[in-house]
Amino acid sequence: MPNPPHAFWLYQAAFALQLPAVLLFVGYAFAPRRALALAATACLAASLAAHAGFTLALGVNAGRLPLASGFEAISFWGLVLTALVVQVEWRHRLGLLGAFLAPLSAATLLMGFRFAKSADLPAPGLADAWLAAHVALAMLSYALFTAGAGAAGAYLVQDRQLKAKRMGPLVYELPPLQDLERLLARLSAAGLAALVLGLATGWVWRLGMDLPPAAADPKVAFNVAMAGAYALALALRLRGPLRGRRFAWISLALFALIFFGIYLVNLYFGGHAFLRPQGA
Amino acid sequence: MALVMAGVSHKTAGVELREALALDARLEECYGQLSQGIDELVLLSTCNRVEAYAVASDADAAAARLRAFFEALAPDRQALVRKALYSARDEELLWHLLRVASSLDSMVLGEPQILGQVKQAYERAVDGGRVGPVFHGLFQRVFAAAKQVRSDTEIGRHPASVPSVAAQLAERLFGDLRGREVLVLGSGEMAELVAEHLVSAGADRLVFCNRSLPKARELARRHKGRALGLDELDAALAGPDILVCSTGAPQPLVRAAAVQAAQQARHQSPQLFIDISVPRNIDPAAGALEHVYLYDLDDLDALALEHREKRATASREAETVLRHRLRELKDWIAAARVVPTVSRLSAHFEAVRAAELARADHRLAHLSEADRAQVDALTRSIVKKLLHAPLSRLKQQAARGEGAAPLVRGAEELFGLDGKGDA
Repeated sequence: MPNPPHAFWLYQAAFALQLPAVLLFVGYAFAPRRALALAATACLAASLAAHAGFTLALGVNAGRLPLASGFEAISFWGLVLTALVVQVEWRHRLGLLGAFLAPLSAATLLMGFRFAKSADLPAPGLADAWLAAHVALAMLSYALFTAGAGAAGAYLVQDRQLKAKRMGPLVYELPPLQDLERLLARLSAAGLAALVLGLATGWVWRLGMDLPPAAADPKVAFNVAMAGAYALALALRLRGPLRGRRFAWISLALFALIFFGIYLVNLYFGGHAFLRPQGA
Repeated sequence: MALVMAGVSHKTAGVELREALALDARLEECYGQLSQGIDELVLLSTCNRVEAYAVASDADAAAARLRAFFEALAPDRQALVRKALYSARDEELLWHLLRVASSLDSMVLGEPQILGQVKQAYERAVDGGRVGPVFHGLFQRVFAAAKQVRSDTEIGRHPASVPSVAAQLAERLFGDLRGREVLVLGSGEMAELVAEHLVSAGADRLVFCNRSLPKARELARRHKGRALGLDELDAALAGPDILVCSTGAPQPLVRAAAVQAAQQARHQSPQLFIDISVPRNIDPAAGALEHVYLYDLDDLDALALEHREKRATASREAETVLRHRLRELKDWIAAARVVPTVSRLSAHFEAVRAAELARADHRLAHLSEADRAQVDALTRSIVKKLLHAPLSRLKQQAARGEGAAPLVRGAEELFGLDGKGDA
């Protein structure tokens, strides 16, 4: 039985703090009281602090950037996503956007538990700076896509209310429809840029390693496909056919593909091909 | 010191009577008429109410003066004025003023203008030198209470008229309306009103389209927009983000097929269509298009009604806020009531002290300047100590709202502060 990562209790605390945040944000969606959103943001900020402390302790203990294993990558994804939610809530006080994003950041941390137990020493050569940049950028892109999914959910709710001509309390709590659409497009475009840069830095790292071709790596293939899908969706949005509601649905679908796809690729293919034991 | 008010409002008087009593054009003259026997005065005159708020030492006399003042404003309708006139004193006045400033007494519950109007009335009274310490403190506290009501409750959140609902819809859809194009189809008064609301919300590109081009040009000139003839409508549909339609045409002028073409031309960028014509002038099928948000008059009316109901619910929360504020105001007024007595009592003691020192001046002539200063300080200290207990008791009694009046009367009689002298 492998040991849990160093200072794992901080990661557990970060996850535990996300749960009341999710409940409070969901409560806010039903009864929009400012105090609920503030309490939820405070819980998320505390979770972020615990998570940042965990990441720091992990890095100091290992003497490298803590981005070299599947668990560390997912942990970084959750960290960036939580930071995004806290930042959005702190600056814009939207409340309801948190109700869409906080469950996603909690789910990301929860996914981390699945990989924490297999988080033993990283494979040789994984401490390279190019690889660290690759993992950081890839996780940043996932976090941006996750935030985009939150914005897409908020867009669909707002659109439904305006189309149905019912001005429920959520209409006032959410940003205007066009602002949400722009936010979603920007998050998706930023996520795509980070993913492409992540793939590029990974490719540079592979050049120095004696590894099988990238095309044979299921994780690389999956991410290239995702980058292509996002690029196509963004291009179609610009030209018109995928504007608004359709773009929101496509963003949600692509996010679901990334979220579950990464999980499945890691689970069934063992992540990157070079991480698999020889002969597997 | 008493607080007295009298006035008429939309609840007691029709618009004709309110017009007859309106003070705006003769405000200075009215302040002049109400100078005798009234220490402080604020006159409030809006479309929906005309009220006078006064501070006076004799409440009955002041109330009678205010009534007579209002009756004199419409001499040919005195019986009507008497019937419409209401009055209030002290706590009742405070509660009324709090409700008025917080828009709980307005014709459109929660409308935002009234607070500004009360502030303006107060500022005019300040400029005219008719506000003293009581109304200064009182109105500032009332403004703070009204602001709290707007921020802590949803009373002002939901627009309650059709044009303001339309403007809010546009903001919910587009956010900032700057740079947004508004096409006004027809020359209905309501369409113009909606357009004005959109302009005040930030929309800055207006286009007027009318069957009569001169009429469209006239509207465009008035609102600094541009004019179109009806024959140009289909081609122009791709331009506006918001279309406001109010014509008397018997059949739809905006066809779904033309809207669909416009949507393609603008790359499916969303459009808000407000159709306030009866019969409707925008084909309802256009509302089924994905990026078209179509609201007709019934939809807007339903939203306005829903909003009025929400405001009514919020008004109950607002009253809870105001009840808390009323308690604070009562305490403050009670404390303010003893201030003149406290000042007079302190002045009386100081006068006695100064007089006694002056009388003893020749007997203290041998003292040095430093010793004389010591004697002066000593007598001041004695007076301060003697006054400390009674003044504290007076202030405490007033702050507790336990009726400081008997104590005030006692103090004034005992020390001859009531102007009757001590014989």
